[in-house]
Amino acid sequence: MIRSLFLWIDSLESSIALRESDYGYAILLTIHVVTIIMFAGLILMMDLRLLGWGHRSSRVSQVQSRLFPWQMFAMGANGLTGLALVYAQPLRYYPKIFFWLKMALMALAGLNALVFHFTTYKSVAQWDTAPVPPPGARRAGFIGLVLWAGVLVFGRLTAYNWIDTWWPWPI
Amino acid sequence: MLLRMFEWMQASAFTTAVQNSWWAGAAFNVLHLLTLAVFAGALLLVDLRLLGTGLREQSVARVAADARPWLIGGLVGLAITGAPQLVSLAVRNYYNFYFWFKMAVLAVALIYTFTIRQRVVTADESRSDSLQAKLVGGLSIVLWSVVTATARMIGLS
Repeated sequence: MIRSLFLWIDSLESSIALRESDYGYAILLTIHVVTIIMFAGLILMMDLRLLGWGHRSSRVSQVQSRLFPWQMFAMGANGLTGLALVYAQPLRYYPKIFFWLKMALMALAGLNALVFHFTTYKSVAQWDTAPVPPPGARRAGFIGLVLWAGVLVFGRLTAYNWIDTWWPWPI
Repeated sequence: MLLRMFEWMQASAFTTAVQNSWWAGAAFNVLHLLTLAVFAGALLLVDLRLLGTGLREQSVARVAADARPWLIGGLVGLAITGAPQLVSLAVRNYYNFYFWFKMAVLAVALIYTFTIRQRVVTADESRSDSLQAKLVGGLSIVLWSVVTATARMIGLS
């Protein structure tokens, strides 16, 4: 089913036009990289506060709420350019293991943020100013750090062809 | 003269070792990207504050002081992971327009960050919400975005 979807997108005129445009793909890829760095950088700063490793003079709730709009802005631009990149070259991404690993880690990172928000973060008033937050917050920060680093790593390995990453079966 | 230096780097034992390794080139590149995220996060936190947004409850100087270890650590990481890529792809880089463009903007961005921007982030707090502070923060984001964008263009050309 996913394979059929990717094959169908590949045959669309707009996909072909984007794929064959002189600068379209390069521009999209460049914006994608700049925005993922902005997003990951701000997420990292928030995770460092959750871990108690950085920005200890700021309240956890302030770091969360003040950075959130910018994280969402960067993620929105990054998601849109990412979708357009896959739309332009669906058969380049579909068979790559690293691409799907990146997608899986993104989903896990989102899940980690949601679980943290609806559990540990509910009691933030009690530890908002603590230089080192409680274990639940530190755990969420560490997991977030590892997962987003993984997204960057697999994203880069998807874009380049250093390591053979194809599935063992043909598309 | 410059070309000879790049050819010498290309012919070095280090370059041969990297090129004969199936993982070394990828590892340096990926680590470069990860350290860039550290550097960019620390930079953005302060630049957003200079723009009058982000961590507004803290002074610019406080936000900058908290971010500084990550800014410097990220920059050192970028240099350590960038140098092997410069050496192992020396001749290809030499003939790449975007490589030289990136190096030129990088030099400007570094000087700007540690002179003009540094003066503003450590200035008297009464000036931290001024138009000057906003311009300095905005220009910092633009300069480093151009560095990141041109770095990616090296790999595309």
